[in-house]
Amino acid sequence: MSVEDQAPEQNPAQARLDHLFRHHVPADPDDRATATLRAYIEQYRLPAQPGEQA
Amino acid sequence: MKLTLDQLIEGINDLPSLPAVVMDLLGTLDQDDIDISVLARKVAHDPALTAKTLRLANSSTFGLQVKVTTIQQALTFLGFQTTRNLITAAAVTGCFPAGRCPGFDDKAFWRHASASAACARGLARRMRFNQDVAFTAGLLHDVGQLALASSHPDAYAAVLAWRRQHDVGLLEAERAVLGIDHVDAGVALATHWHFSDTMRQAIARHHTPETPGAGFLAAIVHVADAIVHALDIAGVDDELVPRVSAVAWDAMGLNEEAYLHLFRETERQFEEMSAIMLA
Repeated sequence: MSVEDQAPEQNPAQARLDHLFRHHVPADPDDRATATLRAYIEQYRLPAQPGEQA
Repeated sequence: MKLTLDQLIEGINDLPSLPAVVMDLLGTLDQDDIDISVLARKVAHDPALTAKTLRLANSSTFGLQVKVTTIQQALTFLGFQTTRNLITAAAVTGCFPAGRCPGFDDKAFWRHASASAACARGLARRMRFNQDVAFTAGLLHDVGQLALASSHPDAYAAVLAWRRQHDVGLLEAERAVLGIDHVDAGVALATHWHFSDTMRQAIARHHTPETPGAGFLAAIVHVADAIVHALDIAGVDDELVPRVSAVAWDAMGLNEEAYLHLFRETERQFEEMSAIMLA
């Protein structure tokens, strides 16, 4: 089994969001507005599944 | 490949003119003392402009319970300011030749512009700001890209190629290749077309809404632009969400629930609008 086969599959919607926000640095304390927008978009695109915490 | 401001303005001067009635309207977006009957008569003389305006008026964005079939009816049911902005939107979308610039996706441009207009209108409603002015500013905030792609297609094709190669924002690519950007072009076009000061300022500051004197409209357009990029509405592979100004974001003062509702509203409205814009 290759390394790729063993890697966990990434949700395509999450992968696309990561691509859209690829220039955003989550650890940057001066960029909280982008971080908040990203969190809201993730909430919109990737709603919590039953049994998961929102 | 650098462009001087004079070359930019020369290229913009060569773009097709807007109908005279629209030029009149663009200069008066902040005013209410316009003779409505004269406006209706002037617009009615342009069948294509009338048809596109009425299709916009009948779109779900404006929520009319009855279908309007004349400009006079649109004025009656939607009011003067909304109708004036719809006429402007209809006219501006029809005046740029498509397909001249290799790599410039006209459909993607209008999808982003239409969604930004709907989103800016939604933000303005929540902020009790003028919704019609916000709609037009959202629609036209990136009009400088169209001006550059239409007036200097080869140079702008080089910008788009540079951007793909370096994976940077469009402004950075434009400055690197041309020495000017779509904000410069948008402001030059706004001046050429006699846009109101409010509209010109929103175009000039939509990437820098924290600049003193930028105005609330620039903040609304800035946030709407970022939301629409994040909603991935243009449908382009290399879509990129720009950094959001904390000053503009805080000025909106909305909570998560309000934003989630705005996202749904924007997605619901833009498809129909962009289809009309591209017709």
